[in-house]
Amino acid sequence: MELEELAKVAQRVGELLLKSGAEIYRVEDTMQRVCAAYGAHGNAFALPTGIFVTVESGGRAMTLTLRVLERETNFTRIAQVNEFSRGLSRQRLTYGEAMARLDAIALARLYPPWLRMLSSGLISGVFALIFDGGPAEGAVAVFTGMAVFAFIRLLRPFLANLLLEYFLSGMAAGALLLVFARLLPAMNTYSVVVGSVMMQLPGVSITNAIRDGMQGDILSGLSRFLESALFIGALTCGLALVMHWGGVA
Amino acid sequence: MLRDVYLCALAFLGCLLVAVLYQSEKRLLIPAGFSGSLGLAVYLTFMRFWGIATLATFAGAVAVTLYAELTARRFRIPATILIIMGIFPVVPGAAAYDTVMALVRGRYKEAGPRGLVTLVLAMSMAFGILLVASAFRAARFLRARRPPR
Repeated sequence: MELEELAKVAQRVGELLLKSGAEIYRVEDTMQRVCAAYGAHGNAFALPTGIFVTVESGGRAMTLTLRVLERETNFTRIAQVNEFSRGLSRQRLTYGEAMARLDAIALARLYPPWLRMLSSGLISGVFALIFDGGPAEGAVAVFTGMAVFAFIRLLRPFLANLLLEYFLSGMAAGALLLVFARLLPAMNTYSVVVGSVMMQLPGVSITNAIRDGMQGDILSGLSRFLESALFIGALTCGLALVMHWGGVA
Repeated sequence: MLRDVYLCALAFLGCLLVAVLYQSEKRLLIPAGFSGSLGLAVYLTFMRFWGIATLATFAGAVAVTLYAELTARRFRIPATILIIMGIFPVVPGAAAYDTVMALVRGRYKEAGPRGLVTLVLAMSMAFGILLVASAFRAARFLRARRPPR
């Protein structure tokens, strides 16, 4: 594999991992391992929003930079890229083969969007039940959770700002809850709200922030911690504002 | 006691669904659910005997991370994946919501302590994960360093 090709493969590996929600350490380590498998020296640096990789071999060096903006958690992809990079040390692939494998991994989607929407609704319902909700609260939370999931994805093409997305989704959830609170006056709003909010918690960001910080990737740890705090804040703020205006909470 | 079992069953279902939401492989659905109910079970047990939320959160995070680190190798996946899916019931989401709600209502005197509670709980969770994960990393490091016999 040529130097340029190796750099591209390493970059693609890093991109897939970062987009799918892997820790910074894993992104950097895997890129360097891919380079090492081909006898080159790789130096990778990743941030939650971008990747730099320099590949050195035979007295030449090449650096590629990539901005990564879109992220959607996909654990299957992380596991498969992990397997791919480990396999390289046993069997070297050609550039075409490696890229074909990575493209196939990029397309890996196990569950259709409707199933994920349903499961996000059900997660809300389950957590509403955990927080002292009854059947009515659970049902309302399922509906609200699904609506928030759909709303965030519907807004995505129109808004460049993730924070605004979360804020508006929170407001939408709040408006829905107001309607339900009118229909079911005996409803325990608190369990519904906490259930619906729990589902949207950026648990991936928080856990990754801890892992990043622990690994010494202070910059990424801090920015991911801030990111998750801002997302929780934006969502709950939108929600709480509407509920407060509506006089429910 | 019966209520705790009911809650753990719910946590199983919840974390299994989280695995679906995050596009996890089908073979990991049951382990994800199990680690979720394990975390909550440990949390509830500590709450029952000691009644200290920080301690219970810490213990829950330790249990989830232990399970993840011990099984990750068998499933040949990064342990972080299992931690993320199992930690959900232990994350102080309700405390975070209470804080923001107090702020929105303009009850600043109430928001301060609640924010502090959220922060302390989040830190307990973080240190639980950190402690176990670091121990496993150190063990791997030592094993790699040992000269082959």
